[in-house]
Amino acid sequence: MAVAPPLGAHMTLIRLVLTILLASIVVAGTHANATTRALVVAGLGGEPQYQSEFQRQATAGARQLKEVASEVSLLLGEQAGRDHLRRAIEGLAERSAAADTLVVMLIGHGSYDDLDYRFNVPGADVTGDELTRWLDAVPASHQLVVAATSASGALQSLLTDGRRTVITATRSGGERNVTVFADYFTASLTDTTADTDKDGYVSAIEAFRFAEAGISAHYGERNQMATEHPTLQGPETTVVLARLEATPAFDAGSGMERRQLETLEADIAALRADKANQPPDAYYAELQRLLLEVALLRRRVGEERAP
Amino acid sequence: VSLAWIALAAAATLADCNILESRGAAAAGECYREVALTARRASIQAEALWRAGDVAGANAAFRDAAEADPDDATARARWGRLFLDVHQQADAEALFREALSLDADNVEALLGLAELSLGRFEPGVRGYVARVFERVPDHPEAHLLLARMQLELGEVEPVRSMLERLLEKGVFHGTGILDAYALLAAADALDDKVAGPWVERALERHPGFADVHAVPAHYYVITRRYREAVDRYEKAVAVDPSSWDTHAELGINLLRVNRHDAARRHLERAYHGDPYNALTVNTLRLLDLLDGFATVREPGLLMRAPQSQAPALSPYVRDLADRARAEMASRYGYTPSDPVVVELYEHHDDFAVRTAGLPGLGILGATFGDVVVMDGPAAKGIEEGFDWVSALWHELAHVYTLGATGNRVSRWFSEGVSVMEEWDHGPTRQRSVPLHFLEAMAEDRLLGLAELDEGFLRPRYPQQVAISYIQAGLVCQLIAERFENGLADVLAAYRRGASSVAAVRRGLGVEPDELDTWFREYLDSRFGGIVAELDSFRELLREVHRAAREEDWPAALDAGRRAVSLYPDYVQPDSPYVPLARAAEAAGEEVLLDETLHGYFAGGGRDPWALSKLAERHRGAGRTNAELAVRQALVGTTPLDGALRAGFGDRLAAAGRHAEALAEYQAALSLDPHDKARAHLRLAETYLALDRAEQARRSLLEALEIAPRYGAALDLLLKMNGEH
Repeated sequence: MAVAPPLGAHMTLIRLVLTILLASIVVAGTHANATTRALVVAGLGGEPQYQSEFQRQATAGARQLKEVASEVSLLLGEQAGRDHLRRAIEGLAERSAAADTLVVMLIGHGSYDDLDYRFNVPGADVTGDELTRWLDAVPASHQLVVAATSASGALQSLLTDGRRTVITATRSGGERNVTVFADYFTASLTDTTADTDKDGYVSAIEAFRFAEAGISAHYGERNQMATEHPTLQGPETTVVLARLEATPAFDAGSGMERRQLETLEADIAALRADKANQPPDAYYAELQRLLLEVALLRRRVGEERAP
Repeated sequence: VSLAWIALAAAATLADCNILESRGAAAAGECYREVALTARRASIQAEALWRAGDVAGANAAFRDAAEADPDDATARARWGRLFLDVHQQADAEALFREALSLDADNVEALLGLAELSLGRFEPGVRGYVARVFERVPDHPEAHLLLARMQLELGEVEPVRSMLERLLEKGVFHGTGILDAYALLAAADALDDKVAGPWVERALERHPGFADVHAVPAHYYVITRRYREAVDRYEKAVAVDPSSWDTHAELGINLLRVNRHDAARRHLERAYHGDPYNALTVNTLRLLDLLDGFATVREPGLLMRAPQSQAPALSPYVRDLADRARAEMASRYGYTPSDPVVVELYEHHDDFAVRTAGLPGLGILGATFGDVVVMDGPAAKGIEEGFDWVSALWHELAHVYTLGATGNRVSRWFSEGVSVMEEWDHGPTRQRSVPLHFLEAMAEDRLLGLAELDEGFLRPRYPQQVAISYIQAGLVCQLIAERFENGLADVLAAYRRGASSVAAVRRGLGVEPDELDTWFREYLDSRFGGIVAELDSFRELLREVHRAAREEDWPAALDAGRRAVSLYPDYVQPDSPYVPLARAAEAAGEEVLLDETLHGYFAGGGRDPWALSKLAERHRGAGRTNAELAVRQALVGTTPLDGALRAGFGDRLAAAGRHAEALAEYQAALSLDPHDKARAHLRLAETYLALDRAEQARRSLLEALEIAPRYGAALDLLLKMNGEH
């Protein structure tokens, strides 16, 4: 289940800098408690088709992230070189506090020579060791790295630690073919079917599961052996990557209403955990009672919000 | 001189052992072991060890023999026969070829190759045997091989008279006599004659001679009379409980009559006795797989399929089985007394093991009496040209033609009826025949009716089996058009034991030659035009596909139009319709696009892109019924696509066809959709539309159990509880 941002979290954009191609976007929010910062990078395509594909995916990812993060940086084209990337992460390190959340999304080609992983960017590639060093310097205690590149599985052992969840397009450095993971992962951020818990947001877990299912179908439909196996490792993450509704229904609730919802959801979770020990009729009667309370609460929040 | 004497002495002793063996004497094993210890020549040691059951020892001795005398062709050929005996055909064949390179007419090698060809249902047996007779007239084993082949072709009477004559003449000795008895018993079985004295005579000579039952059982198997085969195999293992191959065959055939528990018992016994038989090992693994399958029981039907697919597939299987019972029972005068079993496999190799015991089988479906086994839609898709619903209809037709004839129908006629059923009555009707058939027609490569079975059993060129299927189907179409009840009448003649020639004569009242003549005229009237333009059509096909691939739309439009007008029925996977439709869409030719897609669909085309496009266009034009008919066909060919099924459900629900929508939503949910909450909510809404409030409530709660904040579901919950 995805954990949505706190109820009533209004994220207002105060700054949007966007130049078409070869540019970076920085989006910042004013909400006092919004502490998610994100960096999205489109690496070197090598061919025009890949170049535009990676930039399209990265731009789409950044666009969705800006709905839920207080700051989003997008590095494209020449701006995605090694030094730019290093400086962007150093900047994030300077602005972050321990309670913050960091999201890094790398899209493009990766390589692995049985020793080093390299993220292909204009100029010198970025190695896995460098990435690890730079990210280790960011104080944010909740970190999510999404490496949507070939051979990205090699990053798992380098990057995963107690505070960092790592999603990679492949399960090892040996899966070296071009991947389709980024396409499915970024598509999840605008697809309502990715929001499986229907809270109006797409969490990192939901996006990962959506991409995983999509990739399985992708290769299955083509009768091809899958050359990529998405992998998620590290601590359980509650990071949210996209908001699908302008204002999810419960976001408009008051503090008391928010606490009521959390209590009801906790009761439902406890009931579900005990499902096997209850007669079905009793279980569903109690489930319905709790859900009716949720439904009434939602209606009340909606009525209060109505002009 | 001394070596020759020893060899002769040893050979004589081996012959003594052979006599003991042919009498079933317990001392035979001891005799062989003694020969193995005392023989000086490695080749004789090898023979003795082989017969004593020491395969590894025999293999080593044959290797020694080959090394000791590199020019000994016979030792190599006998070594090959050993490999053949232990199911290692490739090694056996290599040794036979090696022997023939040393001695071009080596009898043992020629016999080995004949045996190999017979087992593989390849042509060439007669040729090898004829070469043996040139060197050794009246070679007993060559006669036996020839008899086996003739029995496979149903030439029962010639075999019977030949073997009786040869027995009288004293051509056979030792085990050869027993083998002749077994073949004569098989001839009686195939003819449904009162059993002659052969079983008693064989068992009198050798009380443990299981082949006297196993050989007739084999011929029952290849004529698809599995219950009779099981009966004879059971007798065979009663005669010789240590005949492991027979236990394996019995197990495999028990599976074919749906007796799984008994099958497992015999296969396990076979495995304990001979763990190297690939058929046994594969089939036991298959049984483990089947244990995990879902079983769906309906009146007149028992379906087995992988757990995750059974709910999505069972409505189609049930519908087709019901339709088959309603239609084919009256067409062919047979109603199955037991439920028809349909097994659908997720992986082709599992189906192949189920069918033949080994992977690598070329066919996609098989019917054993009233047991249908086939590749399911997960094994092969419509994009590979496999229309599983049509294939299932084909197999179901076999149930009726086999049942109507007590399994005595010939291969070509049963296949012909099944192909005709697909074309004229199945879920995907069409009149398109592949180009390689037209090519064979143009080159006069089609067989006469009297020999059409050969096209299935011993094809002489690579595509002859596929061409024979089409030919048989067309013959049956001709019969159905020209003779009222003609197909049923031919089946009735088969039931009475008629051969193909006699069945046509009795069933239709015409000579097969006359039917051949009518058939040629029929082909000319239907395909004469396109056959005359075959080269042009091929060229246009190449051009339209090239042009579409390169997005050269004007060229694709031109070639596509001409190709479609030349052969409008052609909806095979490489048909011109799909590239023509793409070109019409790209060029904005709306009328042509509609006409092309409609013509393709109406002709039986099932390309998923073309059908999706046609459905969209019907929807856009408000032709709801036409849209739903197309979507129905699309979903039928790709039933494991959960998103497609949910989408079809949405369209059915929008059209107020809630009962059908419910079936689609249930199927979609069973396919483990990514968005389960939405799938449950769809079900809830549909139950509500069908006034099934309690089921609606349960589905709704299941949606909210997954997603408690689901707005649409919470709204429905309030509505259902009167909280407006």
